[in-house]
Amino acid sequence: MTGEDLLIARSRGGDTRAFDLLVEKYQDRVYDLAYRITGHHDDAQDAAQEAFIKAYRALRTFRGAAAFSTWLHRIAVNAAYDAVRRRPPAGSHPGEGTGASADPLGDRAERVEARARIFCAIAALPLEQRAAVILRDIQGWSYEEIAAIAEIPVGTVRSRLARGREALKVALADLAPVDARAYAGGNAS
Amino acid sequence: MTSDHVSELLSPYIDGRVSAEEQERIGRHLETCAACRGDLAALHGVVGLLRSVPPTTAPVELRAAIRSRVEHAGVPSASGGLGPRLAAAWRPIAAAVAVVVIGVFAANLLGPQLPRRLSERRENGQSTSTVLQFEAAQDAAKKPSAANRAAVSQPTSPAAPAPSPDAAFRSVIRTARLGVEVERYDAAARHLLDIAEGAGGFIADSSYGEDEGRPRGEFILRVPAGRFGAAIKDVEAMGTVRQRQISAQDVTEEYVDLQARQRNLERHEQQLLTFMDRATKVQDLLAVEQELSRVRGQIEQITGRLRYLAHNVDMASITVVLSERPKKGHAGLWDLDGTLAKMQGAFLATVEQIFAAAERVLVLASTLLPVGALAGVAWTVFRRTRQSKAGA
Repeated sequence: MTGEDLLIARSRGGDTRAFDLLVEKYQDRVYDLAYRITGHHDDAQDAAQEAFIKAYRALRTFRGAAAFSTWLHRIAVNAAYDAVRRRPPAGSHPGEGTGASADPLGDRAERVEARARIFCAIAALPLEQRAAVILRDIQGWSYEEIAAIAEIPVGTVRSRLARGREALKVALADLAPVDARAYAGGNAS
Repeated sequence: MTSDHVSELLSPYIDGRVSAEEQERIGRHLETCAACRGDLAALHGVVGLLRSVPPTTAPVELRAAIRSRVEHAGVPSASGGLGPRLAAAWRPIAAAVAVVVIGVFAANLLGPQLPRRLSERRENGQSTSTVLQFEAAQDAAKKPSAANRAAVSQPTSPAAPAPSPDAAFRSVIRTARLGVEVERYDAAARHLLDIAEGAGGFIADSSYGEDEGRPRGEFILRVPAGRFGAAIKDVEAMGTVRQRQISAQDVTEEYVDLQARQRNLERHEQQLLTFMDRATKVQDLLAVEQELSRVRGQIEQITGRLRYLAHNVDMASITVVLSERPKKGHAGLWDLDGTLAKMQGAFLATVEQIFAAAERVLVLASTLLPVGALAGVAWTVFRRTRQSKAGA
């Protein structure tokens, strides 16, 4: 039994303090996911709250068959989808929140602008591709985990991801770092 | 140039999620196709870009908002079994149950059960590995006689000189195995249920099979320890006892030891929980969590074992192997075999009666033989006397 299992067990018994620790551990990832899917801070906060509350209420049905984090993110993705359906994100968004974590390096204004463009490009993707790209390339989940979170086969993860990346490649072509091209070219030769 | 064949695969390719043959195909294609090499580089570029995006952090108010909503939400899902409060308070409840179990058991032992139990034991003459043994807590009148004490084996000798109050009686797991042959299986099986339920117990397990066409079943009866002897008697009264094995296992040491360990671990857990309250760094918190989970695991293991022991001490187990007495086969509308058997029986009975009559005749004859012989002798003597008189 890991520490997380213990916290889960205690939460299940109604220990709100234990659940608070779980919230602390996962809130950033869940919020990040919700924010990038919904494209709005307000919606993200609603969706994240909703996800945690739903998870808390449903803890008894969580049997540990899936990893807790996968299970929690599945709830979060669905909560974010609900928020999007309630309010489809407006076409373009300044993405003020993308600069929330200050980055001391380099040309600040340029970076902020680049992030805003990445954010908008992701927000412009069809919902399902969007979720796949966020989970894989921003949050770093494995194909199997994404399949579990989105409740789709691994093959579908693969194709959604390919289409999403393809669209982003076109939209963000001028931002891609030059050295990456050089690296890839060397790889191919 | 069929670059579109490969471009779909470039995304899984950079994740290493292509099959071996796809891998080979992509490799071959990239050698010759500059456009796809460009695609791959661009894809690498965009993925690298996405990976460089720092994660958003949740706004500070999120956690507080969730906390307050969770606190108002009460307890996770009322749909699951025990009420939440009950679930949270299971340890004190388990302790209370254990105390009650121990109390009932002690009352059983100290009560009128004692003399009966011992006399039963003498009567049955069973060799048991252990016998209930009582420490100083009882009054002299109820102490087993010297003879009984002598018959008792000594598993208790290594007990601590000052036994804890819980150890004032022995925790004994009693089991019996009885093989009983009965006239009618079905009736007997129902009767077993009555015995179990009448004793305040139940049938924990049963299996049924046939042995050479005769029904044979195995039942495990769980009865309160105080009704163990009575239940055995009831079962044995159902038919002919073919097998009997009774044993008792003293688990007092283990019980007391486990309780002590449980108490210690629970104290330790309490300390850890207070540490957890005070912990400010995530690092500390994780360390405490690790230790807590280890301790909790041990407590759960011990609690499970204690519960198992308490249950088995409380409820004695009697395994009854029930078999039907062999009889002539019977089948169908007309029980031909039965009729033949009856005819044979009738024939034999008649022959037997004839023989018996003959025997009686012979016996009677043998009774009369000496009398007849005597009469013959008397008659001969009488005739000789008359003849000689007449001749004279």
